[in-house]
Amino acid sequence: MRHNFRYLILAVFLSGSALAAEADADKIVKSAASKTSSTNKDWSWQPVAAPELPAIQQKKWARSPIDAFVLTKLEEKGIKPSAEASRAAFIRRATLDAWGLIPTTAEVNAFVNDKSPDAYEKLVDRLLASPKYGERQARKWLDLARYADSSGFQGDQTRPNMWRYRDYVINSFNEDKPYDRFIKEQLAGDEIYPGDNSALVATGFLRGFPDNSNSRDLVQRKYQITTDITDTVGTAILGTTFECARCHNHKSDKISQKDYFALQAFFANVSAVDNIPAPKGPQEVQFEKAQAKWQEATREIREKKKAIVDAYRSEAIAYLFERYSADTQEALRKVYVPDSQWTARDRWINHRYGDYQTDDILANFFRDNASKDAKDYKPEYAEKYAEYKKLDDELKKFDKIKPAKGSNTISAMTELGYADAPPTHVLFTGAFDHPLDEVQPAFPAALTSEKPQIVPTAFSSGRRTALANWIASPQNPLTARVFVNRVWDQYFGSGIVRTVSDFGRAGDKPNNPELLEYLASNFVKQGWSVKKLHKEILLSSVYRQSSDYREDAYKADPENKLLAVFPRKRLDAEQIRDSLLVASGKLEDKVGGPSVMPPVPSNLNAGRFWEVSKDTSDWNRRSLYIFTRRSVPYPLLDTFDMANAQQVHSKRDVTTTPLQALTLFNSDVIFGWSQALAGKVISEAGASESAQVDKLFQVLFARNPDKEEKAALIAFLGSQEKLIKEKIKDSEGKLALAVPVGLKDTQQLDPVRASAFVDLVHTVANSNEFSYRF
Amino acid sequence: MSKFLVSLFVYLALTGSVVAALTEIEEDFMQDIEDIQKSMTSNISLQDAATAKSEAVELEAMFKDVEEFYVKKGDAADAVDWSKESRGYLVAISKALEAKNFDAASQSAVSLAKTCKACHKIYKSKD
Amino acid sequence: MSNNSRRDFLFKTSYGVGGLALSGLMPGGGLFTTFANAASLVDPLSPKGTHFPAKVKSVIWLHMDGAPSTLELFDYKPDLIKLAGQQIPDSFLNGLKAGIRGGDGKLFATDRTWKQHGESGAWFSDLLPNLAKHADKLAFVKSSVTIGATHDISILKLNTGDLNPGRPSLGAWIQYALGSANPDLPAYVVLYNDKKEPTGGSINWSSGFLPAVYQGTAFRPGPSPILHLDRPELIAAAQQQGSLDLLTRLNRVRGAHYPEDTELQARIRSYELAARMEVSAPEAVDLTKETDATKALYGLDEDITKSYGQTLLRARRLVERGVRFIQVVSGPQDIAGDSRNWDGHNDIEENHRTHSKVVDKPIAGLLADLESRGLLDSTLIVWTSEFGRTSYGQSGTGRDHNPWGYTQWLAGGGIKAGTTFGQTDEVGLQAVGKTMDTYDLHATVLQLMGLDHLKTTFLHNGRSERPTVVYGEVIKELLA
Repeated sequence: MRHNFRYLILAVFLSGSALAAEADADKIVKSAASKTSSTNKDWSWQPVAAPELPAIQQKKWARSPIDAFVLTKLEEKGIKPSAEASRAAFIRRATLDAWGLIPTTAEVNAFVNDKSPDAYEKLVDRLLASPKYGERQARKWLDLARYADSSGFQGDQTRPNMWRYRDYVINSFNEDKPYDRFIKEQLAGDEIYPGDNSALVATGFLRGFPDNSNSRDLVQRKYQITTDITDTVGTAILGTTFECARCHNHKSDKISQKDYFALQAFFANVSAVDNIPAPKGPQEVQFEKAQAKWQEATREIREKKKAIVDAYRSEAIAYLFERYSADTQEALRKVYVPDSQWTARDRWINHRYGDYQTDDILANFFRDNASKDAKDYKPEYAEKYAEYKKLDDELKKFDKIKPAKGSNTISAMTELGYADAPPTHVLFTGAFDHPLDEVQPAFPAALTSEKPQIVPTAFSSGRRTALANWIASPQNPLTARVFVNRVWDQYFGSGIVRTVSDFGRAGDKPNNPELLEYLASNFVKQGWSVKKLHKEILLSSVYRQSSDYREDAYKADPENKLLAVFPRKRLDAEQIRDSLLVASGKLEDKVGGPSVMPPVPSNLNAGRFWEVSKDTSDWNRRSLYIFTRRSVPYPLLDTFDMANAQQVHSKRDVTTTPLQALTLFNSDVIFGWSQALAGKVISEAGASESAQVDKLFQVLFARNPDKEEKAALIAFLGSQEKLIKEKIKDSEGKLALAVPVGLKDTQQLDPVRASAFVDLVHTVANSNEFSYRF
Repeated sequence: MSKFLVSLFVYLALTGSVVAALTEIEEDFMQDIEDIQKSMTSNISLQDAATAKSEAVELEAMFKDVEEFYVKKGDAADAVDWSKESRGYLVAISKALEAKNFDAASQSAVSLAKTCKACHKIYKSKD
Repeated sequence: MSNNSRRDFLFKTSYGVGGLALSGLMPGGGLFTTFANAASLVDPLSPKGTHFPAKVKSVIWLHMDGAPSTLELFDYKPDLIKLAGQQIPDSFLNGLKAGIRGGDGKLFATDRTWKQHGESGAWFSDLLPNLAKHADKLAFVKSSVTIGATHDISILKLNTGDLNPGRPSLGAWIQYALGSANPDLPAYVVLYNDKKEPTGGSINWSSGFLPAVYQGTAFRPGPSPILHLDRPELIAAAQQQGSLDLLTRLNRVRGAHYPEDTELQARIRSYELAARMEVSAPEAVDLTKETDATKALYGLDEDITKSYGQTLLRARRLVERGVRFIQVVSGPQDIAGDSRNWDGHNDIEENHRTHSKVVDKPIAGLLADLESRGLLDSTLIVWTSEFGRTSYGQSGTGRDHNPWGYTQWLAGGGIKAGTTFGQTDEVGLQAVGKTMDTYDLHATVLQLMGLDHLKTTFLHNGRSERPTVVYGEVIKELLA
């Protein structure tokens, strides 16, 4: 087999040296072509085609085509699929997967006792109809969108509008917005759906780039932003790491540098616009009210601040100007010439600069020129700066009435009202200051021969529309494959293509290509309905299997690639936190709105980057509503491998560290939830300890403890009670005990035994079974 | 002759995929070499002399192809030398394996890998 | 499964074939470790034997994040200074990837003063006056090479030997092969001095395909290296121990359903280690008992060096406590422009002046301190980076990435101090002659830890995997 290559090497040689004889060439072309189909290296660039259903023996087992495709591989190897998981195990699993949190005992009981033939289907429909579904799926998408509520870099400024994009994503999943439309809105919502606010918010996908507001080279900054956007789109949606081609022709994929920059060219004209008025809802009204109050209270101080800068404004602007790179300055100088002489790049740079030139920035002019050796030194500057600082400090005192969250504006990526875009060049080794040939927007030549149809709109280049239409087309070989594979990965812990964001040659090949083809083709056929995709997986026999260890399956397929056993999985950071909130009955079940900041450990030292929400109900919101500060990830989630918002986060890591153990065991917040859970269990189960323990297991694991477990738990209450009593003795009665919280009637409770029960609850919540989905 | 060339190029341009196939084969081939080499290294470590040796022999034949290719290509004396060197290491590996000298085989495998790297530095990423 | 049969099952798996094989303590892990999955009761971190006597007990891996230009620090190139401003002659580009050729690459030099130091006569620029005093302790590798890509990817290669996530980092291999010398602390600790985790994140101290228990543990900078080290306020130590015992029991009972699951087993261990760390970790990183003289040695009395100095002083304390591998990632500084680490694409003068200042005194202090405590002979210090920087300039005042020739150095036990291995061409762009790739560095570090990199193996997917993939040669010239 391998020695056939001899021909093929020859073929390369011959085609280059132009010495081939006709007969040989024929042979070469044929063998080359057959080689292509046999190893199928560029499989992901071939059109998606619906495969035929395989013939299988255990026909009864297959509930859906998915099952047939999985089963046929198992039968090839002579492995049997696993038995069905119990109903209780199933609902815990499905709820965690679809909603990202555990079901309540009522939900478990209703399903377990549902004798109707369509019990599973009813359950799945219920899961997919809940807004919690959208919240969970949104989190997955936000990982890919490198979503954050701040800019990153040193300044890491708050971006007060980004939550609107997060909510847009939640709503899109809940509405079951067709995936092709979802993509189009995020890439070019402003161009394709003008006047649609939600589509404008959708461009937050592009707007989410990490940014350095202090950058003095806006030409370079523009390039870095375009790079981020191109790489994000390529990785998240097309599952292709185009970025390698930025610096050199792609080693393993046939993406040339030219292809790469031609892709960047689609984004050459986008600018961030953050002050688009939002439609007025209750949030906006409340925000404006609070803001008006703050503005009124601070008017005088702010006017004084402005007056100081005003007196030196032109000097300060000139000073600031000088600190920019030469080509940035050249563009900025255009403010003195008529619009007709501006290039598209001039517009981009001036727009960006305008955003940045605040009084606080200009006031740095005083600081920087306060000492005698400074170039623009004047004796009064030190004093001016001190004055300005003092006013600033005074202003800060009003921060408590300043709206801490929310906004009345939309952040979007759009164009600045012109059809012409700045030129894009191939860059030598990817360095922005080494332009080579100019390129026009084009799709990667190796992927398609299609040429973009670019039609400028009244206010923009129309470039992104062309790109969005190509990406979101049923003919695009990657879009559907990449997405269905991500959903598969989400359910089975590993994609059909394991490298979920690399469908290129450096990535893995699909371990069940027919299954992938089926899912992708069916996804498009079903109108890109994400919910239908989830539903088919959730109702499949593969997904219903038990996760119990089977020696025969393990021996035949130690990595469980063929899915003879349902793969257990560590919960994601958000699933752990949100499930604890459900268990303790503390979850604040509100969908959407500005991001919140729950308390952080006092030794985190996050300073101004983390100002804890005043409204304590905000502390128990679902994790995806927690503020994403790029430089200060929320520690509880961070410890459990949350997404890194610096770039596309393709797949969550699973680490197992003592730091996680310390967090779950020692965090006062989590211990508080255990106290609440203990209270809830006692309230619901009554005085019997056996019933309490049963209830606790039902809440956390959707099952009852077995005999051995129960015996251990009850014995623990006794031994722990003894320990606590000793502690009381040692403390001479001055000791406070951690008791269950939220009980109506605490009269009947023996505080020591109750305290032991809190320890028991906290311990069970720390067990492996809770942090895993089986 | 020139007529043929034109038609070949037209064909290539039209199909696209064949262009990719022709230029990529070298990479596929080298990828196979890399795979077998990794497997061989593992088998040396696992002291599976028989399998490792058959892989060494296979690799040696493949490097012969590589050597021929660069000879024909011309202006690639260094690549020809590296191919020869690689074949030398593979012969040494086979011999060491026959003698069940796994340490020596391991060392030669490292030298082989190093040669690959040296050659790739010049030849791998030229598109 | 009845309780009886479950007990039988546990008994069999823990004392069966797998258990015995592992307790046989294969040096370097051996090939039977995959069977160890079944042996949940055997301690995967118990100390294991070496292949040959180890020269050092601990490694301090000083990663200069962002990639310094060693042309500004160690690699003195009079020709580069002479030719600065001129187009780089084609002869120096020989063999470099096509993209570099024909580029606008003018040679670039910053304004440095160069001097030779120590008996070895090693060159140092004016940027590292303190380190220069320890010239005779260092062994330079001036012909380092690697694969150049983005920082994230080359950093991954530096730590794991591969460009894609999935392989174990060097520290994980060492922890796997040697076990832990101190049951109360992780044997593999990552230190950094930024608010957030270093570039590239936890995949750089991942256990890859090795069991999860071997991954590194990251300590935060500042007074609390680990959040949540203190028990909840109302819980006494004995009480928590009681809870922990119950936890272990529950996890074991349930874990019997998943005998092959190393992740679940690692989680059990993580709680046990966590409990011990509540006591040992604060003590290990508590600098209050250090003398003022020691603190000054590391630059703790100066703002610019304080943060990195604390990190290195912690590293020394961890060495004293038997931690095997301490990976220290240099932290960011507030420097104008886009790059806060060593990544000097623009204004390399200011960038390197600042970063050199940050690390110079603390590293010199570390060397002096280890020496005075008699620890230098049993500790290996590796000064390393993901790549170097080009001799030609970028953006007028900066330098681009250079994977073709840059300097790293080693010091400590088993090292031939005062030597230089390898060299670059006259302008410092490419290594000439013998080179050291990351694999060779890994092989050399393992050698000093008493491990043969060819025999430090783990069976994964039927393949025998090793830290150096298929590469790696011990650089004998560096060994005493």
